[in-house]
Amino acid sequence: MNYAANLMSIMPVLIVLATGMIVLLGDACSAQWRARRWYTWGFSLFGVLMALVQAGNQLQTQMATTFSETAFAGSIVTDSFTLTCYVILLITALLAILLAMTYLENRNLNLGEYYALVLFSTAGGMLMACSNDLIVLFVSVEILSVALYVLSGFARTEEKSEEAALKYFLLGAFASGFLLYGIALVYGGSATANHAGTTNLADLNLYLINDGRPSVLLMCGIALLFVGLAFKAALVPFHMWTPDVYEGAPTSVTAYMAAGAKIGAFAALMRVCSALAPIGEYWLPAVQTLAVLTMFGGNILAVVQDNVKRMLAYSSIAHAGYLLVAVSAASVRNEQAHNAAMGAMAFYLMAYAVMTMGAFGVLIYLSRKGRDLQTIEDLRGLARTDTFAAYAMLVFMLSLGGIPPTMGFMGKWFIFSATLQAGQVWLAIVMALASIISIYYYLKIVWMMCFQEPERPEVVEHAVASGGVRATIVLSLATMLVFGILPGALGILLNAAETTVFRP
Amino acid sequence: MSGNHGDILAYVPLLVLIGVSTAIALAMVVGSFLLGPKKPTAYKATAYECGMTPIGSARERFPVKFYLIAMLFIVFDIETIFLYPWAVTYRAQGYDLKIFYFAEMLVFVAILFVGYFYILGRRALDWDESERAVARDPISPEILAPRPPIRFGNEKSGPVRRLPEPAHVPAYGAVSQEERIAALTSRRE
Amino acid sequence: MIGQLAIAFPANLGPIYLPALVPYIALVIWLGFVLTILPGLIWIERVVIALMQDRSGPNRVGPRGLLQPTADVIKLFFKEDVLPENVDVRIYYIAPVIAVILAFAACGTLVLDAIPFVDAEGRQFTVPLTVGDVNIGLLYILAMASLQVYGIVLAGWASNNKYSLLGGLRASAQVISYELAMGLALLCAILMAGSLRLGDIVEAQATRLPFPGAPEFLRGSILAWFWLGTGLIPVVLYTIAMVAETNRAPFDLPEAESELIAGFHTEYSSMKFAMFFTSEYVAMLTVSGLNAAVFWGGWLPPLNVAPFTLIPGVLWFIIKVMMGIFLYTWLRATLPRLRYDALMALGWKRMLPLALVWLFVLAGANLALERRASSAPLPTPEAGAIVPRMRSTGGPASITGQPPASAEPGPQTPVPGSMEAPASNGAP
Repeated sequence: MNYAANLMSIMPVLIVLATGMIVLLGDACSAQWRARRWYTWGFSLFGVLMALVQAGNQLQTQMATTFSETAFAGSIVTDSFTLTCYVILLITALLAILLAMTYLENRNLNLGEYYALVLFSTAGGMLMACSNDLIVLFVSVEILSVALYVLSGFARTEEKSEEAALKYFLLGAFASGFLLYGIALVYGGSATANHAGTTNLADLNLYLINDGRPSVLLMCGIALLFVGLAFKAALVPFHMWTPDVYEGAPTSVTAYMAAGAKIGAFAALMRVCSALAPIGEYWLPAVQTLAVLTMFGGNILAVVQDNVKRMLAYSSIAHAGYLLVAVSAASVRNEQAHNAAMGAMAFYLMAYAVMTMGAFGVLIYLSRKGRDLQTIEDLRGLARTDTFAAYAMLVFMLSLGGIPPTMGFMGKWFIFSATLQAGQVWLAIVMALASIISIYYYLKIVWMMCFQEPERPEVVEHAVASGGVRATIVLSLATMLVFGILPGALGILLNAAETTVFRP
Repeated sequence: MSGNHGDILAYVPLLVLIGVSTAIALAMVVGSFLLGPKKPTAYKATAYECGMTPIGSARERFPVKFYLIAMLFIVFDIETIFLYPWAVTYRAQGYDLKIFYFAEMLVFVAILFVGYFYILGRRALDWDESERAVARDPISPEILAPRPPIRFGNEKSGPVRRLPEPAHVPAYGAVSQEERIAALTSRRE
Repeated sequence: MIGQLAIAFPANLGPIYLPALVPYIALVIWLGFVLTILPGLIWIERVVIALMQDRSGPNRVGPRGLLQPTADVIKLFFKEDVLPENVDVRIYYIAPVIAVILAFAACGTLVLDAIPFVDAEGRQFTVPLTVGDVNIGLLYILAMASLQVYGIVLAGWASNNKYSLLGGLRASAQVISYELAMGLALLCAILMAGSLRLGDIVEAQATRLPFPGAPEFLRGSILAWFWLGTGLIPVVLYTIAMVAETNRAPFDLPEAESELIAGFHTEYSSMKFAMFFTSEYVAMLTVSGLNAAVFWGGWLPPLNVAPFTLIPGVLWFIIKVMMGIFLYTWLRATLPRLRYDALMALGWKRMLPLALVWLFVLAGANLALERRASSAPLPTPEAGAIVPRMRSTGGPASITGQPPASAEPGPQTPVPGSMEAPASNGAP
């Protein structure tokens, strides 16, 4: 593979990065902010769309040839799972950018850096999905996180936002430390008498298949690796930062962070777990324990929240638990179950991204000038005052709770059946129980919106909701319903795992 | 040549040089400490502020611009460090590889220049604050609103903070200025 | 160069392998030179400035005030060592020590000359007269020079004085800002020489022709040195940056008398005060020496003809260093102090981008020249780049050993020839 082909294989990432840089430059160097505002917003959208087209193109070729290729001396892999994750991340970024402009202007935060940072962190997440080497993984985790640290402190003048950024940054730095140390130990632990260790996931996979028993050093490394990634994916006991950061960050950032960071983290987790699958019996119980803790922890803590953003934060933790169930199912030595779980995860990531963006989109739609919508009380009687928002929110809540005919339901169903295929029946049952708990608090919001009288019956005047926010909500709504009813239309997602590099 | 033990041993004379310079430095400090007279007085020991009584502590917050410069320095210094091995090996490459070397580093520096023009456009390198505020936040005029004047503590309304003076020095105004200076400049004991 | 007098020292004198002693000889010569010239530097500066300002300057102690610096040093030793209130005592004492140690250590890899030796088999080779003939010599000097800011900033912090604190901060911001441009300007020369070893950089200038097709007697002459060879801009940038690095006029803002009294050493008295002075002057010698070695041909005579070649290389080197010192003095007498924002703007907005762009202009020119050379039927003498000829393995272990075989790191260093991705992803 020559140099140009290497670059071609990560073309969507390059497009996103280049767009980010151009936006950054144009924003900093132009004096007219009125022109700048359309330029930054429009150009970011354009770039993401271009990348989306490119990724879709590549995905199509990929599906036709079912050929996965590695680039840059094996450190980057482009298979259909990678490309699927690209598409999901790019859709998330698209929605996040659509959401942002009016909201940011209402809060006096409309600066071009916002779009550039969203683009950079998207590129980081995309690189996480395609990394086939732990070092590349680490670098891309940093690209993703550093941009998110800044974004969560984007409301510079607000204490809560500052606090969120600082907390996120400190804990994220710790997590990066764990991750890097884990990588170092994996490198040392995979060394044998004959050759040096490796950080390449494919090589690691081969080594584990051939040599069977992992050394203690390798196990320590894997444990640290999991801790680092669990921080990024906000799994329970490493979730402490999530509620504070989600609450403090500007809502459009929270929406993006909840979806984008999680997609990246789970793509990476899936890659690492697939590579480590040959020694699954050593670490799978730990992942399953984490999954159970995360599902119950997230759901139970969400029940007691009054603040909608906090509640959604805990709910996102619970969703991370469901995704972790898929990871666990994908790590068994059963190719069929593995593929089913990979596909289920891709589908669920898509569903999760869309419904999270939608739910936060409604919050943004409802936020008044200069003030965020925060508590459940703020939603009281919404069905009377703003029908569109209330019913959109209703659908998102139902989807998050996993009630048909929404995409959330189908996603859960796929994970459920993949788990059964993998023979982890108890985990599937636990997952079902956990989602029953979640229905309580999602319906609490529905109840508050639809079955309560508003405090003031007149129509509340919201800040001018731009077309962008409406578009986001409508797009999410449509996606959610269409693919909830016709999941087969996204068969491309379900087949995501067919051509991945690893075999457990 | 690189990598053999001769190169490591070439550092030994450097260590000797560092040892000798340490000796010189210590000799200077110890020498003046031993040779000079010791006549400390309270007045001599106060911080020098052009003859005025020092106001407040000297370890205060200082402008954030210095931090900014330090952070930018790290970015660009690391970039320079990347350039060193490149520059050393560049000339020895064959023509084809040299094109690759050149293009690769050009891309790297181009990306760096994006960052450079960004900080330039954001006036991070301008030392003048008000200019930066205008460029930074065109939508928030409150930044430009007049601020209350900075107080140094020695305005008429504010209390004047003084360092405590030695007990034997008479209070200001109780005796004549000459007597007070004499007391201040006398020995502590 | 001594070599041109056709003198070559025997490599083995009895059981002693002489080239191994060269670093220590260099150490003695360099330290001796620095310690004797130090008071002299102050005298030179005062006298030159006095001449430029049309006044008499020091004239009481000794002939033409020549003993004035000596008197000053003795006086400083016997002055009271005042310890102000509330200083951080440990750091207060450590700061000048750090400054002096680093200043003296920084000059370790400067090359004073190349000494020719001949071994038992009659092979000639040269050994650079330097304390540390290490392959990262230039990087070492830069590292030590940038560490010197610690002495300044610690002094400013420990002194418990607002002027000192501001002076220390200004100094550190200034030094780190100009270090970038300095490093990039030096990179231009490194690109031409292909080595970080200062001896190699000088040798590269010695074997260079000013331009292709120049007459042979100009090889290694003043026109071939890197000040012209790198296109004049790097040497100008470096010279500006070196003045700023050492906090000298017109960049002496850290100790701007009119606003900051003496800056970071306001609270220092007696010899501790003199130590900052010492470190400043030694740093001036070091960066001037670096300038001489990298851009001005080190120990090489300006022309390879009789009257010049009779003077030993060490002297040429010292002459070049002293010209740097004269430049410092000249600048101080001529230019007013910069405003702080102008200082920062000059470093960050002018010099940094210019140096970076110029580096790529040089690299591109090199590429273009190579293309022409490779398309031509016969390569010009220039095209083969510089072949580093001179190597030494100075060191105690080789005292009784054999002279080193001249290992040539040829152009064919092992570099992966293509970007082929190894097919390491095969599924079992």
